[in-house]
Amino acid sequence: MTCSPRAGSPVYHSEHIVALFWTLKATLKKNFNPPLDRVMCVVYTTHCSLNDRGMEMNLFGDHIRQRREELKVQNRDFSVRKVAAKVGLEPSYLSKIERGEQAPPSEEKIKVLAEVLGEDRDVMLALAGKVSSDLQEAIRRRPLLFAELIREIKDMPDHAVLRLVREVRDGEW
Amino acid sequence: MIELKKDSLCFTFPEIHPDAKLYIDFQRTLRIPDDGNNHPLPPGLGKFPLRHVDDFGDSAPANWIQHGGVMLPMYQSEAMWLNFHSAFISEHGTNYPFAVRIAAGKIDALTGEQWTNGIHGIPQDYLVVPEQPWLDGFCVEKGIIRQFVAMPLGEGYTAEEQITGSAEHGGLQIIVYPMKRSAFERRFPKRDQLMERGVPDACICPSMMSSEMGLAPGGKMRQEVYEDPFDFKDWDRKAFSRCFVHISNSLIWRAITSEQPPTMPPTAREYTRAGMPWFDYYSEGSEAIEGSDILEKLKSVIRMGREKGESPVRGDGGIDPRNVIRIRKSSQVKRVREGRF
Repeated sequence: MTCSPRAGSPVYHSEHIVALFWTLKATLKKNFNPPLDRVMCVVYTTHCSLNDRGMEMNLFGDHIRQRREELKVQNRDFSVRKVAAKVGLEPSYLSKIERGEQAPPSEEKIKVLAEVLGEDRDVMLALAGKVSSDLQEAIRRRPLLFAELIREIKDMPDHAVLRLVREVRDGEW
Repeated sequence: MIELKKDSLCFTFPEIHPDAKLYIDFQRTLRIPDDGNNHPLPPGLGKFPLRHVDDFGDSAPANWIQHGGVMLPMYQSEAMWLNFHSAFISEHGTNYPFAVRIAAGKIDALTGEQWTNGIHGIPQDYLVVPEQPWLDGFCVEKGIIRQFVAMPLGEGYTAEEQITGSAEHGGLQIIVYPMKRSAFERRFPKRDQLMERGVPDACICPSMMSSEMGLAPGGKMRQEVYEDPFDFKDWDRKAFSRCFVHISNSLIWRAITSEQPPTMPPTAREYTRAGMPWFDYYSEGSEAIEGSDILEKLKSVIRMGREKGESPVRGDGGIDPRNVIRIRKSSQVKRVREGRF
Protein backbone atom coordinates (compact mmCIF):
# COMPACT_ATOMS: atom_id res chain seq x y z
CA MET A 1 0.00 0.00 0.00
CA THR A 2 1.26 3.49 -0.70
CA CYS A 3 -0.15 6.74 0.63
CA SER A 4 0.48 10.29 -0.42
CA PRO A 5 -1.09 12.90 1.77
CA ARG A 6 -1.93 16.56 0.95
CA ALA A 7 -5.39 16.66 1.06
CA GLY A 8 -9.00 17.30 0.51
CA SER A 9 -9.69 14.52 2.72
CA PRO A 10 -9.71 10.81 2.55
CA VAL A 11 -13.21 10.95 3.90
CA TYR A 12 -15.15 13.14 1.52
CA HIS A 13 -16.06 12.57 -2.08
CA SER A 14 -15.53 15.64 -4.22
CA GLU A 15 -19.25 16.37 -4.39
CA HIS A 16 -19.58 16.03 -0.62
CA ILE A 17 -17.03 18.73 0.04
CA VAL A 18 -18.88 21.14 -2.22
CA ALA A 19 -22.16 20.33 -0.52
CA LEU A 20 -20.39 20.99 2.76
CA PHE A 21 -20.14 24.65 2.01
CA TRP A 22 -23.78 25.02 1.19
CA THR A 23 -24.66 23.56 4.57
CA LEU A 24 -21.99 25.49 6.38
CA LYS A 25 -23.91 26.56 9.46
CA ALA A 26 -25.27 23.12 10.14
CA THR A 27 -21.84 21.64 9.67
CA LEU A 28 -20.13 23.95 12.11
CA LYS A 29 -22.82 23.37 14.72
CA LYS A 30 -21.91 19.72 14.68
CA ASN A 31 -18.31 20.56 15.63
CA PHE A 32 -17.03 19.33 12.34
CA ASN A 33 -13.31 18.48 12.43
CA PRO A 34 -11.56 19.52 9.23
CA PRO A 35 -9.26 17.01 7.56
CA LEU A 36 -5.53 17.11 8.15
CA ASP A 37 -4.41 15.55 4.90
CA ARG A 38 -4.61 17.15 1.47
CA VAL A 39 -5.28 13.98 -0.44
CA MET A 40 -4.88 10.30 0.10
CA CYS A 41 -4.44 7.81 -2.69
CA VAL A 42 -4.29 4.12 -2.10
CA VAL A 43 -3.04 1.29 -4.20
CA TYR A 44 -3.84 -2.11 -2.82
CA THR A 45 -4.67 -5.35 -4.48
CA THR A 46 -5.67 -8.73 -3.19
CA HIS A 47 -8.00 -11.56 -4.06
CA CYS A 48 -11.13 -12.91 -2.56
CA SER A 49 -13.73 -15.47 -3.40
CA LEU A 50 -16.60 -15.83 -1.01
CA ASN A 51 -19.73 -17.90 -0.93
CA ASP A 52 -21.02 -18.25 2.56
CA ARG A 53 -22.98 -15.29 3.92
CA GLY A 54 -21.86 -15.80 7.51
CA MET A 55 -18.32 -16.19 6.32
CA GLU A 56 -18.68 -12.89 4.45
CA MET A 57 -19.83 -11.09 7.58
CA ASN A 58 -16.91 -12.48 9.57
CA LEU A 59 -14.35 -11.89 6.87
CA PHE A 60 -15.57 -8.35 6.30
CA GLY A 61 -15.77 -7.58 10.00
CA ASP A 62 -12.43 -9.21 10.80
CA HIS A 63 -10.78 -7.41 7.94
CA ILE A 64 -11.95 -3.93 8.86
CA ARG A 65 -11.22 -4.46 12.55
CA GLN A 66 -7.72 -5.70 11.81
CA ARG A 67 -7.04 -2.83 9.43
CA ARG A 68 -8.49 -0.22 11.79
CA GLU A 69 -6.45 -1.51 14.71
CA GLU A 70 -3.27 -1.48 12.64
CA LEU A 71 -3.91 2.17 11.80
CA LYS A 72 -4.87 2.97 15.39
CA VAL A 73 -1.42 1.95 16.59
CA GLN A 74 -0.06 4.95 14.66
CA ASN A 75 -3.01 7.30 14.89
CA ARG A 76 -5.72 7.50 17.54
CA ASP A 77 -8.15 8.85 14.95
CA PHE A 78 -8.84 5.24 14.06
CA SER A 79 -10.84 4.36 17.16
CA VAL A 80 -14.25 2.75 16.51
CA ARG A 81 -15.96 5.96 17.54
CA LYS A 82 -13.94 8.22 15.26
CA VAL A 83 -14.04 5.92 12.25
CA ALA A 84 -17.79 5.46 12.68
CA ALA A 85 -18.23 9.25 12.78
CA LYS A 86 -16.23 9.68 9.58
CA VAL A 87 -18.27 7.04 7.80
CA GLY A 88 -21.59 8.22 9.20
CA LEU A 89 -22.43 5.12 11.23
CA GLU A 90 -23.31 4.64 14.87
CA PRO A 91 -20.23 3.39 16.77
CA SER A 92 -22.22 0.47 18.22
CA TYR A 93 -23.32 -0.55 14.72
CA LEU A 94 -19.74 -0.46 13.42
CA SER A 95 -18.60 -2.45 16.43
CA LYS A 96 -21.23 -5.12 15.71
CA ILE A 97 -20.17 -5.25 12.07
CA GLU A 98 -16.57 -5.79 13.17
CA ARG A 99 -17.65 -8.65 15.42
CA GLY A 100 -19.72 -10.23 12.63
CA GLU A 101 -22.98 -9.66 14.52
CA GLN A 102 -24.34 -7.36 11.83
CA ALA A 103 -24.28 -7.69 8.06
CA PRO A 104 -21.98 -5.30 6.18
CA PRO A 105 -23.47 -1.83 5.58
CA SER A 106 -24.65 -0.36 2.26
CA GLU A 107 -22.42 -0.06 -0.79
CA GLU A 108 -22.03 3.68 -0.27
CA LYS A 109 -20.98 3.26 3.37
CA ILE A 110 -18.53 0.50 2.43
CA LYS A 111 -16.94 2.79 -0.16
CA VAL A 112 -16.50 5.57 2.40
CA LEU A 113 -15.16 3.06 4.94
CA ALA A 114 -12.66 1.81 2.35
CA GLU A 115 -11.47 5.36 1.75
CA VAL A 116 -11.13 6.06 5.49
CA LEU A 117 -9.16 2.87 6.06
CA GLY A 118 -7.06 3.28 2.92
CA GLU A 119 -8.41 0.11 1.38
CA ASP A 120 -9.51 -0.73 -2.14
CA ARG A 121 -13.25 -0.23 -2.45
CA ASP A 122 -13.77 -3.18 -4.81
CA VAL A 123 -11.90 -5.51 -2.48
CA MET A 124 -13.96 -4.28 0.47
CA LEU A 125 -17.20 -4.74 -1.48
CA ALA A 126 -16.15 -8.25 -2.47
CA LEU A 127 -15.41 -9.09 1.16
CA ALA A 128 -18.95 -7.95 1.91
CA GLY A 129 -20.32 -10.17 -0.86
CA LYS A 130 -21.22 -7.21 -3.07
CA VAL A 131 -20.24 -5.96 -6.50
CA SER A 132 -19.94 -2.24 -7.14
CA SER A 133 -23.03 -0.80 -8.83
CA ASP A 134 -20.93 0.74 -11.61
CA LEU A 135 -19.59 -2.73 -12.48
CA GLN A 136 -23.12 -4.15 -12.41
CA GLU A 137 -24.23 -1.36 -14.70
CA ALA A 138 -21.34 -2.03 -17.08
CA ILE A 139 -22.32 -5.69 -17.28
CA ARG A 140 -26.03 -4.85 -17.71
CA ARG A 141 -25.19 -2.53 -20.60
CA ARG A 142 -23.25 -5.18 -22.53
CA PRO A 143 -24.25 -8.48 -20.89
CA LEU A 144 -23.18 -10.88 -23.62
CA LEU A 145 -19.79 -9.27 -24.07
CA PHE A 146 -18.93 -9.10 -20.36
CA ALA A 147 -20.40 -12.49 -19.48
CA GLU A 148 -18.26 -14.08 -22.16
CA LEU A 149 -15.20 -12.09 -21.16
CA ILE A 150 -15.48 -12.93 -17.45
CA ARG A 151 -16.09 -16.64 -18.12
CA GLU A 152 -13.13 -16.63 -20.47
CA ILE A 153 -10.67 -15.09 -18.05
CA LYS A 154 -11.99 -16.21 -14.65
CA ASP A 155 -9.52 -19.07 -14.30
CA MET A 156 -6.56 -17.33 -15.87
CA PRO A 157 -3.57 -16.69 -13.63
CA ASP A 158 -3.09 -13.08 -12.53
CA HIS A 159 -0.16 -12.42 -14.82
CA ALA A 160 -2.25 -13.46 -17.83
CA VAL A 161 -5.15 -11.25 -16.77
CA LEU A 162 -2.76 -8.35 -16.29
CA ARG A 163 -1.71 -8.71 -19.91
CA LEU A 164 -5.25 -7.71 -20.83
CA VAL A 165 -4.91 -4.26 -19.25
CA ARG A 166 -5.43 -1.42 -21.60
CA GLU A 167 -2.63 1.01 -22.26
CA VAL A 168 -3.12 4.72 -22.77
CA ARG A 169 -2.26 5.22 -26.41
CA ASP A 170 0.41 7.75 -27.31
CA GLY A 171 -0.14 9.41 -30.68
CA GLU A 172 1.52 12.13 -32.73
CA TRP A 173 1.96 15.41 -30.88
CA MET B 1 3.43 1.52 -20.22
CA ILE B 2 0.63 3.83 -19.08
CA GLU B 3 -2.72 2.64 -17.77
CA LEU B 4 -5.74 4.47 -16.50
CA LYS B 5 -6.65 3.29 -13.00
CA LYS B 6 -9.46 4.91 -11.09
CA ASP B 7 -8.90 8.32 -12.65
CA SER B 8 -5.12 8.12 -12.13
CA LEU B 9 -2.44 7.68 -14.76
CA CYS B 10 -0.29 4.70 -13.80
CA PHE B 11 3.16 4.71 -15.39
CA THR B 12 4.94 1.37 -15.06
CA PHE B 13 8.39 0.29 -16.16
CA PRO B 14 8.50 -3.48 -15.58
CA GLU B 15 11.59 -3.73 -17.76
CA ILE B 16 13.45 -1.52 -15.25
CA HIS B 17 12.04 -2.76 -11.94
CA PRO B 18 8.83 -4.65 -11.08
CA ASP B 19 7.90 -1.91 -8.61
CA ALA B 20 8.83 1.07 -10.77
CA LYS B 21 5.30 2.50 -10.71
CA LEU B 22 4.30 6.13 -10.69
CA TYR B 23 0.75 7.38 -10.23
CA ILE B 24 -0.35 10.85 -11.32
CA ASP B 25 -3.80 12.25 -10.71
CA PHE B 26 -5.31 15.63 -11.31
CA GLN B 27 -6.93 17.21 -8.28
CA ARG B 28 -9.87 19.59 -8.37
CA THR B 29 -9.22 22.57 -6.15
CA LEU B 30 -10.14 26.14 -5.27
CA ARG B 31 -8.91 28.94 -7.44
CA ILE B 32 -6.82 31.15 -5.18
CA PRO B 33 -7.32 34.91 -5.46
CA ASP B 34 -4.95 36.78 -7.75
CA ASP B 35 -4.52 39.66 -5.33
CA GLY B 36 -0.76 40.04 -5.28
CA ASN B 37 -0.37 37.93 -2.13
CA ASN B 38 1.44 34.61 -1.95
CA HIS B 39 -1.14 32.16 -0.64
CA PRO B 40 -0.72 28.77 1.03
CA LEU B 41 -1.65 25.61 -0.85
CA PRO B 42 -5.37 24.94 -1.35
CA PRO B 43 -6.87 21.50 -0.67
CA GLY B 44 -7.67 18.67 -3.04
CA LEU B 45 -11.40 18.30 -3.70
CA GLY B 46 -11.16 14.94 -5.41
CA LYS B 47 -9.78 13.73 -8.72
CA PHE B 48 -10.93 14.98 -12.10
CA PRO B 49 -12.43 12.11 -14.12
CA LEU B 50 -10.01 10.82 -16.77
CA ARG B 51 -11.08 9.03 -19.94
CA HIS B 52 -9.27 7.52 -22.92
CA VAL B 53 -9.76 9.84 -25.91
CA ASP B 54 -10.00 6.74 -28.11
CA ASP B 55 -13.30 5.86 -26.41
CA PHE B 56 -14.90 8.96 -27.89
CA GLY B 57 -13.63 8.88 -31.44
CA ASP B 58 -16.96 10.12 -32.82
CA SER B 59 -17.39 13.08 -30.51
CA ALA B 60 -13.91 14.22 -29.42
CA PRO B 61 -12.00 16.71 -31.63
CA ALA B 62 -10.03 14.98 -34.38
CA ASN B 63 -6.67 16.39 -33.22
CA TRP B 64 -7.22 14.79 -29.78
CA ILE B 65 -7.54 11.39 -31.42
CA GLN B 66 -4.36 12.12 -33.33
CA HIS B 67 -2.52 13.02 -30.09
CA GLY B 68 -3.86 9.98 -28.24
CA GLY B 69 -3.78 10.02 -24.45
CA VAL B 70 -6.56 10.93 -22.06
CA MET B 71 -8.98 13.78 -21.39
CA LEU B 72 -10.58 15.48 -18.41
CA PRO B 73 -13.23 18.22 -17.93
CA MET B 74 -12.62 21.68 -16.44
CA TYR B 75 -14.81 24.76 -16.17
CA GLN B 76 -13.48 28.09 -17.39
CA SER B 77 -11.27 29.58 -14.64
CA GLU B 78 -11.32 26.33 -12.62
CA ALA B 79 -7.98 25.40 -11.02
CA MET B 80 -6.15 22.09 -10.68
CA TRP B 81 -3.04 20.58 -9.19
CA LEU B 82 -1.10 17.46 -9.99
CA ASN B 83 -0.61 14.80 -7.35
CA PHE B 84 2.30 12.37 -7.69
CA HIS B 85 3.12 9.23 -5.82
CA SER B 86 5.35 6.31 -6.57
CA ALA B 87 5.16 2.78 -5.24
CA PHE B 88 6.80 2.26 -1.85
CA ILE B 89 9.24 -0.63 -1.95
CA SER B 90 9.50 -1.89 1.58
CA GLU B 91 12.60 -4.02 1.11
CA HIS B 92 14.49 -0.90 0.00
CA GLY B 93 12.64 1.36 2.45
CA THR B 94 11.82 4.00 -0.17
CA ASN B 95 9.57 4.94 -3.03
CA TYR B 96 10.94 4.31 -6.52
CA PRO B 97 12.33 7.64 -7.85
CA PHE B 98 11.15 9.23 -11.10
CA ALA B 99 11.99 12.36 -13.08
CA VAL B 100 8.78 13.94 -14.34
CA ARG B 101 8.53 16.73 -16.87
CA ILE B 102 5.27 18.67 -17.08
CA ALA B 103 4.21 21.07 -19.80
CA ALA B 104 0.99 23.01 -20.41
CA GLY B 105 0.27 23.69 -24.06
CA LYS B 106 3.79 22.35 -24.67
CA ILE B 107 5.27 25.09 -22.46
CA ASP B 108 7.46 23.63 -19.72
CA ALA B 109 5.84 24.46 -16.37
CA LEU B 110 9.22 24.93 -14.65
CA THR B 111 11.33 26.72 -17.27
CA GLY B 112 8.82 28.25 -19.71
CA GLU B 113 10.76 26.69 -22.60
CA GLN B 114 8.94 25.03 -25.48
CA TRP B 115 8.51 21.28 -25.34
CA THR B 116 11.05 18.79 -26.56
CA ASN B 117 11.15 15.15 -25.58
CA GLY B 118 13.78 14.55 -22.93
CA ILE B 119 14.89 16.17 -19.68
CA HIS B 120 17.65 18.66 -19.01
CA GLY B 121 19.63 19.34 -15.87
CA ILE B 122 20.56 23.00 -16.51
CA PRO B 123 18.17 24.61 -16.02
CA GLN B 124 16.31 21.75 -14.41
CA ASP B 125 13.12 21.19 -16.39
CA TYR B 126 11.75 18.23 -14.43
CA LEU B 127 10.70 17.48 -10.91
CA VAL B 128 11.67 14.47 -8.85
CA VAL B 129 9.15 12.13 -7.25
CA PRO B 130 8.88 11.29 -4.34
CA GLU B 131 10.69 14.51 -3.28
CA GLN B 132 8.01 16.56 -5.04
CA PRO B 133 4.54 15.35 -4.02
CA TRP B 134 2.50 18.01 -5.87
CA LEU B 135 2.69 20.67 -8.54
CA ASP B 136 0.11 23.44 -8.47
CA GLY B 137 1.23 25.75 -11.24
CA PHE B 138 3.91 27.52 -13.24
CA CYS B 139 7.19 28.12 -11.39
CA VAL B 140 7.52 31.91 -11.67
CA GLU B 141 9.96 32.63 -8.83
CA LYS B 142 12.05 30.59 -6.44
CA GLY B 143 9.49 29.07 -4.05
CA ILE B 144 6.54 30.75 -5.78
CA ILE B 145 4.22 29.36 -8.44
CA ARG B 146 1.23 30.75 -10.32
CA GLN B 147 -1.72 28.41 -10.11
CA PHE B 148 -2.86 26.33 -13.11
CA VAL B 149 -6.18 27.87 -14.19
CA ALA B 150 -8.18 26.55 -17.17
CA MET B 151 -9.09 29.03 -19.91
CA PRO B 152 -10.52 28.45 -23.38
CA LEU B 153 -7.88 28.02 -26.01
CA GLY B 154 -7.88 30.84 -28.54
CA GLU B 155 -8.69 33.75 -26.23
CA GLY B 156 -5.10 34.66 -25.44
CA TYR B 157 -4.98 33.81 -21.72
CA THR B 158 -3.03 30.55 -21.70
CA ALA B 159 0.71 30.39 -21.09
CA GLU B 160 1.07 28.78 -24.51
CA GLU B 161 -0.63 31.68 -26.28
CA GLN B 162 1.22 34.33 -24.28
CA ILE B 163 4.60 32.78 -25.07
CA THR B 164 4.18 31.42 -28.60
CA GLY B 165 1.37 33.64 -29.89
CA SER B 166 -0.60 30.63 -31.10
CA ALA B 167 -3.29 28.37 -29.65
CA GLU B 168 -2.19 25.08 -31.04
CA HIS B 169 -1.84 22.43 -28.33
CA GLY B 170 -3.64 23.21 -25.06
CA GLY B 171 -3.90 20.50 -22.40
CA LEU B 172 -1.01 19.06 -20.43
CA GLN B 173 1.94 17.02 -21.61
CA ILE B 174 3.74 14.65 -19.26
CA ILE B 175 6.88 12.60 -19.74
CA VAL B 176 8.23 10.27 -17.07
CA TYR B 177 11.70 8.75 -16.66
CA PRO B 178 12.49 6.11 -14.03
CA MET B 179 15.76 5.96 -12.16
CA LYS B 180 18.15 3.34 -13.55
CA ARG B 181 17.85 0.13 -11.58
CA SER B 182 21.58 0.06 -10.90
CA ALA B 183 21.45 3.60 -9.48
CA PHE B 184 18.38 2.75 -7.41
CA GLU B 185 19.97 -0.34 -5.89
CA ARG B 186 23.21 1.51 -5.23
CA ARG B 187 21.51 4.46 -3.56
CA PHE B 188 18.86 2.47 -1.70
CA PRO B 189 20.30 -0.92 -0.79
CA LYS B 190 17.97 -3.57 0.53
CA ARG B 191 17.06 -3.26 4.17
CA ASP B 192 18.59 -6.59 5.18
CA GLN B 193 21.88 -5.20 3.84
CA LEU B 194 21.23 -2.06 5.85
CA MET B 195 20.60 -4.14 8.94
CA GLU B 196 23.95 -5.60 8.54
CA ARG B 197 24.15 -1.76 8.07
CA GLY B 198 -22.48 22.00 -9.15
CA VAL B 199 -23.42 21.58 -12.94
CA PRO B 200 -25.45 24.08 -15.06
CA ASP B 201 -28.50 22.39 -16.62
CA ALA B 202 -28.42 24.36 -19.85
CA CYS B 203 -27.87 22.20 -22.89
CA ILE B 204 -24.79 23.43 -24.67
CA CYS B 205 -24.28 22.45 -28.25
CA PRO B 206 -20.64 21.41 -28.83
CA SER B 207 -20.47 23.40 -32.03
CA MET B 208 -21.34 26.60 -30.16
CA MET B 209 -18.12 26.78 -28.22
CA SER B 210 -14.57 25.57 -28.24
CA SER B 211 -14.14 22.30 -26.40
CA GLU B 212 -10.42 22.78 -25.89
CA MET B 213 -8.95 24.35 -22.83
CA GLY B 214 -5.42 25.32 -21.93
CA LEU B 215 -3.79 26.30 -18.66
CA ALA B 216 -3.23 29.93 -17.82
CA PRO B 217 -1.37 31.46 -14.85
CA GLY B 218 -3.62 32.31 -11.89
CA GLY B 219 -2.87 33.68 -8.42
CA LYS B 220 0.44 33.14 -6.65
CA MET B 221 1.13 30.61 -3.94
CA ARG B 222 4.05 29.30 -1.97
CA GLN B 223 5.36 26.07 -3.40
CA GLU B 224 8.95 25.03 -3.86
CA VAL B 225 10.03 22.85 -6.75
CA TYR B 226 13.00 20.95 -5.43
CA GLU B 227 16.39 20.48 -7.02
CA ASP B 228 17.21 16.99 -8.19
CA PRO B 229 19.02 15.37 -5.21
CA PHE B 230 20.47 12.64 -7.46
CA ASP B 231 22.97 12.64 -10.31
CA PHE B 232 21.53 13.48 -13.71
CA LYS B 233 23.08 10.30 -15.09
CA ASP B 234 21.03 8.24 -12.61
CA TRP B 235 17.91 8.75 -14.75
CA ASP B 236 17.25 6.12 -17.39
CA ARG B 237 16.70 8.45 -20.33
CA LYS B 238 16.16 5.57 -22.76
CA ALA B 239 13.12 4.31 -20.84
CA PHE B 240 10.32 6.84 -20.81
CA SER B 241 6.55 7.08 -21.16
CA ARG B 242 4.65 10.16 -22.16
CA CYS B 243 0.99 11.15 -22.11
CA PHE B 244 -1.06 13.97 -23.64
CA VAL B 245 -3.80 15.07 -21.25
CA HIS B 246 -6.51 16.98 -23.12
CA ILE B 247 -8.70 19.40 -21.23
CA SER B 248 -12.33 19.65 -22.29
CA ASN B 249 -14.62 22.50 -21.30
CA SER B 250 -16.87 20.97 -18.62
CA LEU B 251 -19.93 22.41 -20.33
CA ILE B 252 -19.43 20.19 -23.34
CA TRP B 253 -17.94 17.17 -21.51
CA ARG B 254 -21.42 15.66 -21.42
CA ALA B 255 -21.82 16.09 -25.18
CA ILE B 256 -18.54 14.24 -25.75
CA THR B 257 -18.83 11.51 -23.14
CA SER B 258 -22.54 11.40 -22.13
CA GLU B 259 -21.27 11.70 -18.55
CA GLN B 260 -21.99 14.45 -16.07
CA PRO B 261 -18.88 16.50 -15.22
CA PRO B 262 -18.08 17.24 -11.57
CA THR B 263 -19.87 20.17 -9.97
CA MET B 264 -18.31 23.62 -9.69
CA PRO B 265 -15.89 23.85 -6.75
CA PRO B 266 -16.58 26.40 -4.00
CA THR B 267 -14.77 29.72 -4.10
CA ALA B 268 -11.66 30.27 -1.97
CA ARG B 269 -13.61 32.76 0.13
CA GLU B 270 -16.45 30.31 0.83
CA TYR B 271 -13.93 27.63 1.72
CA THR B 272 -11.92 29.89 4.03
CA ARG B 273 -15.04 31.24 5.75
CA ALA B 274 -15.97 27.65 6.58
CA GLY B 275 -12.75 27.38 8.58
CA MET B 276 -11.41 24.67 6.31
CA PRO B 277 -7.64 24.15 6.18
CA TRP B 278 -5.00 25.37 3.77
CA PHE B 279 -1.59 23.73 3.48
CA ASP B 280 2.12 24.49 3.51
CA TYR B 281 4.66 21.86 2.55
CA TYR B 282 8.33 21.87 3.32
CA SER B 283 11.13 19.41 2.89
CA GLU B 284 14.02 19.97 5.23
CA GLY B 285 17.39 20.01 3.55
CA SER B 286 15.98 20.30 0.03
CA GLU B 287 16.88 23.30 -2.10
CA ALA B 288 14.31 24.88 -4.43
CA ILE B 289 15.08 25.58 -8.08
CA GLU B 290 15.00 29.16 -9.35
CA GLY B 291 11.87 30.47 -11.03
CA SER B 292 11.70 30.99 -14.77
CA ASP B 293 12.24 34.47 -16.24
CA ILE B 294 9.96 33.52 -19.12
CA LEU B 295 7.14 32.41 -16.84
CA GLU B 296 7.59 35.36 -14.50
CA LYS B 297 6.64 37.70 -17.35
CA LEU B 298 3.31 35.95 -17.98
CA LYS B 299 0.18 37.96 -17.29
CA SER B 300 -2.24 36.37 -14.88
CA VAL B 301 -5.83 35.64 -15.94
CA ILE B 302 -7.12 38.60 -13.91
CA ARG B 303 -4.57 41.02 -15.32
CA MET B 304 -5.12 39.85 -18.88
CA GLY B 305 -8.89 40.09 -18.41
CA ARG B 306 -8.55 43.62 -17.11
CA GLU B 307 -6.46 44.62 -20.13
CA LYS B 308 -9.01 43.06 -22.47
CA GLY B 309 -11.96 44.63 -20.62
CA GLU B 310 -13.29 41.18 -19.71
CA SER B 311 -14.21 39.44 -16.44
CA PRO B 312 -13.02 35.89 -17.00
CA VAL B 313 -13.35 34.64 -13.42
CA ARG B 314 -16.11 34.60 -10.79
CA GLY B 315 -15.75 35.18 -7.06
CA ASP B 316 -12.11 36.20 -6.83
CA GLY B 317 -12.45 38.03 -3.50
CA GLY B 318 -9.51 38.28 -1.10
CA ILE B 319 -9.04 35.71 1.63
CA ASP B 320 -7.29 35.51 4.94
CA PRO B 321 -6.49 31.84 5.52
CA ARG B 322 -5.76 31.32 9.20
CA ASN B 323 -6.07 27.58 9.39
CA VAL B 324 -2.85 26.54 7.65
CA ILE B 325 -1.55 23.04 8.21
CA ARG B 326 2.18 22.56 7.73
CA ILE B 327 3.19 19.23 6.27
CA ARG B 328 6.79 18.08 6.50
CA LYS B 329 8.16 15.69 3.94
CA SER B 330 9.05 13.18 6.61
CA SER B 331 5.48 13.22 7.94
CA GLN B 332 4.03 12.18 4.60
CA VAL B 333 4.00 8.48 5.19
CA LYS B 334 3.45 7.49 8.77
CA ARG B 335 5.87 4.67 9.25
CA VAL B 336 6.84 3.02 12.48
CA ARG B 337 10.19 4.37 13.57
CA GLU B 338 12.90 1.87 14.26
CA GLY B 339 15.09 2.78 17.24
CA ARG B 340 18.22 1.32 18.77
CA PHE B 341 17.95 -2.09 20.37
